[in-house]
Amino acid sequence: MARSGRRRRRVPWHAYVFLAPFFVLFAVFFVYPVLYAIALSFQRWSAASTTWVGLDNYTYVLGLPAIRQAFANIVWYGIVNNVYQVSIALVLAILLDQAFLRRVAGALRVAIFLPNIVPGIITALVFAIILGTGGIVDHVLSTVGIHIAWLQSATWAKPAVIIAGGWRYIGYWVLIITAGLQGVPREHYESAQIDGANAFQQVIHVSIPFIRPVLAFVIIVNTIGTMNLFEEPFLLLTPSGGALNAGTTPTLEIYKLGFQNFNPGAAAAVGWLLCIIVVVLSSLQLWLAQRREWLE
Amino acid sequence: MRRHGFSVGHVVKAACVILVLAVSVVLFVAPLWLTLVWATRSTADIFSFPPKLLPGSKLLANIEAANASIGLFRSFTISVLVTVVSVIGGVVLSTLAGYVFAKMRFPGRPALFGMVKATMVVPGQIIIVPLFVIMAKLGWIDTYYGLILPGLVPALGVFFMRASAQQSVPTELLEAARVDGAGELTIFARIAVPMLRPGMAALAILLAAHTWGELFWPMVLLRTQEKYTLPVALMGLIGDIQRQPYDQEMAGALFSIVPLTIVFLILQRYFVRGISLTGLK
Repeated sequence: MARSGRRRRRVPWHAYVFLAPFFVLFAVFFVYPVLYAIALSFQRWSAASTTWVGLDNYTYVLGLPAIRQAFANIVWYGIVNNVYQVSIALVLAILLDQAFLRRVAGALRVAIFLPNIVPGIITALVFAIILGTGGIVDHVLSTVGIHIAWLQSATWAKPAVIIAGGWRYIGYWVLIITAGLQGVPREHYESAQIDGANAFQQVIHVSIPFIRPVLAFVIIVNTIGTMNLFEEPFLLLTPSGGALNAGTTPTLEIYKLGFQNFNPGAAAAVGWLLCIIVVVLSSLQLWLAQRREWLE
Repeated sequence: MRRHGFSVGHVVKAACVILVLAVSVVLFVAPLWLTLVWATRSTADIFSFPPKLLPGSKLLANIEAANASIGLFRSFTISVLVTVVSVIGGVVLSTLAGYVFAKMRFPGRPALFGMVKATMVVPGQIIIVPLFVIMAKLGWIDTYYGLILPGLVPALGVFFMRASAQQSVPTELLEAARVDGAGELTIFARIAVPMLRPGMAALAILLAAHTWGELFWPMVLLRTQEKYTLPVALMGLIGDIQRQPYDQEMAGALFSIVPLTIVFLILQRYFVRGISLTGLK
């Protein structure tokens, strides 16, 4: 009895006190809105009245061509972004990990990472000039007779978004992959060397298997990030018109439905459809990763 | 270990590696350099070919023009204040919560942490519409409360600081302080926080970059031009495609890039260490 009494006194109230500020704000500004979004997606909401409309919002948004395009695009963006960003980041991280570069590698990584702190709107503005009509890329390509209207054509709108996004994020993945590579025990490389493995074989048979958990982490975070793609397509493709629908994303459609058409119910429905896709995708990736014992 | 001689093969390989890296670094840095150059040049220069690669003389003129059309200095100041408040608040709350999750056992811990974990997969944009409705009911549209408060609870920050605390705060040290009779707040402030500094610096950079560049929420929430943050103000320059003041946009871009770059370069050692400590878990 005495013992359990003492233990009860040990309930760490301070833990709850320390957590309280975070969780109060978290409940009000995150949990409640998430739950409210569920209700909203089944309502028609107006200043005058709120009516429950069942699945109307979902059938409405799924019937819109722009929404279907947005969800098709996000799958495309998700796949291409991962292949493009992760493969380049992996190559750069491995090259920067070479022993003879030890002195300069840190500075080079910082240079490659710098674009990551550039705001999305600035990335879009700068790439609108670089890729736009009369911009550098246009001029250079036209010297060999190629003309690509990156920001106006339905074909090139999405690659333009990928190029701008890659510039901003590859450096971040390089840092994370580098952290993984530096955890590979040097003896692994030495024994591979003794077995006669060349540099390329060492990468394939030693480095990559060892950093699989890191790559899985990068792919999951990158996928979730890509699902939220908004600023690049919004600002790269809006002012030039035309290509916007070709490159649109669910988040962009949430903005248009919620704040331009003033249809919060439909916007919330798109939000939940997006949420379901993200949850399914990331659980699938996590499951695959754990199944292969890549994680933990 | 066998010592390698400098064979021709090695030199060629090293040269290839250096070439690939040099080209990549140039490609990553070029847009930043061009932004700097373009901020100092006229719109005609920006689109000239061959491109102008060195700064011109129009920097002050562009800054003044941008200030006249969108209130560059005012929105810059607002962005600085909003970012400082958000980063301090976000780092303090995340550090407290992350430390508790890493170092304390208490009833309800798995449930509370599970809740934070679950939000990692909920796309942030899904809550924007309901959050806007809530702000309308609170009368917080077009206020800085509405702008800042929702950003103070970054779930990612809790993860980050939890991982930091697990890696760099030894539990025995906390126990020793408890035996000595130190209060929990003292233990946190005097023992844990100094050890968590690299993690806090790294988180501060992540949060600063996010808040500083955030467009969606301030764009829908703020209505009065005098209250605009820098990204929202810059939106005002993007009108129709034909007559965009690209030179002013680039002056604004310079204002957006330079402060964070300086902060980052000062804190980068912490940042890289923080990433390597916590990026994996």
